[in-house]
Amino acid sequence: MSSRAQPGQFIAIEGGDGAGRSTQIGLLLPWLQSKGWAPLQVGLGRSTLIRRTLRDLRRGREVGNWTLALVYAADLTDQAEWAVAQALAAGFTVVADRWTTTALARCAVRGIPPAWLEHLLPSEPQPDIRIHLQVPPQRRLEREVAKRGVPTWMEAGRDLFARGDPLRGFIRYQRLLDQQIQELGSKCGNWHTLDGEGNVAEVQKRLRDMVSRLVRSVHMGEDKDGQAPEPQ
Amino acid sequence: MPQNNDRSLMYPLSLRLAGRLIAVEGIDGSGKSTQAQLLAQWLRDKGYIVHETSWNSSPLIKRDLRRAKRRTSLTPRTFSLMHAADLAERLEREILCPLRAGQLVLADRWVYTALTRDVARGMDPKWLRALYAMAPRPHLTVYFRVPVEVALRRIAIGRSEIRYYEAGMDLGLASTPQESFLLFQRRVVEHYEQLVQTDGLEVIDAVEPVAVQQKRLRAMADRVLHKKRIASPRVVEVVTGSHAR
Repeated sequence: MSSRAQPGQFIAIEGGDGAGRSTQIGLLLPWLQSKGWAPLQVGLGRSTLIRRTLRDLRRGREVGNWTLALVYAADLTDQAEWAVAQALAAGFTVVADRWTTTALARCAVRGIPPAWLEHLLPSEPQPDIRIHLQVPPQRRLEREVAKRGVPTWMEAGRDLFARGDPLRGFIRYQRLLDQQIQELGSKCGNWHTLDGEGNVAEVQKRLRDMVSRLVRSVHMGEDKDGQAPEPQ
Repeated sequence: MPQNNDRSLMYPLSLRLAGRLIAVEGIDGSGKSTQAQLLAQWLRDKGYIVHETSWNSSPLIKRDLRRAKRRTSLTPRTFSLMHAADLAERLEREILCPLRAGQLVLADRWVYTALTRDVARGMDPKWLRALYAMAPRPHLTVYFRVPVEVALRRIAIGRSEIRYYEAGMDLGLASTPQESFLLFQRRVVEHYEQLVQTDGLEVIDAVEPVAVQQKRLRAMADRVLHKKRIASPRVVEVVTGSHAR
């Protein structure tokens, strides 16, 4: 799939809010290390170039949709051009806690044409493996509420459904987001969905199985003949 | 003259703008900001409501952009994206509403700054036009034409040093800021001259006395304002479009 000459692997884990991505990545990294694959974590909203802006957004500062889209573009491009490119060249395994698909989906549900934004997001390096960690919105809502009492402004899509209550807003918004992520992601050849339901250890086992199988196949060049999507 | 009546550069926003957007463009040291300020004052004296906005000034993006410039940690691509985010934020916060409400917006630099400077940095003009698709085309854009040597002299009088990115030092064209400024801004000027042809920018000779330039600028603004009489604020025309939620 990848025409990149670099020796490293680039794994992007996409998904809606509260799917357990950060927890799972937190467990995946030491495992990668134990296998001798030096890992580096990147992700949506992690660029230091634009960190004050991103912090304001996390804190719920209202921002227009075009601005949001361009902030994501700057954020991901900065990471792609520096951290990701360097790490892959050095043979690291790069794991992204959300990458272009989630950014595109978040903007798409807000009326930003994906065709426009796609063009502005980093085209290189492309992830070798894209994993959609899927958990039904209802289940994720329970987790989010358990964690902080109320879903954040953005997670509940309250800029979209301002008058709705946060819980219904969350379900409604996350459903739209899931749909978009799946639709946009499945256009990529290396898209895989992973069932994120169940306890942390179970999900982690499934994730490790998927990663070792896919990384091996990428290494061996088996992935070249248009990988079949993951059967659910 | 503008090639089409569509007010956005590339992407049709379907927003009807009852007000007028006037932009001044030119290289650093062309005197455009001075002229813009004089124009704003004159328009206000005539009773117009004028909103002034300038390039990379949005409170949200400005802080990160300044820091990045200080640390020179921008690539040509992130340079472009950050400036576009800055304009998007200003559009959504301070430009589109006044325009829809029938008021005047005076912009010190518009997308043409990106279409010259960023192209001089090696960015693809097509990519840049797509990037700025959300920006409406001004009703009047005035380009202040000045030889780069004159601009450099003016900057030397105004402030002590030439800024890193303004001199295009990130391109490694020359070892001294002065030399680099001349080389880089010459490229920028070439691109401005092309835009005069393709995008209908109006030209003012920025070597002429300030008062003479101002007289020309006022005449140009007058023409744009007279096409459709814009006076006191009008009832806001509620328009549905991509920006309506």
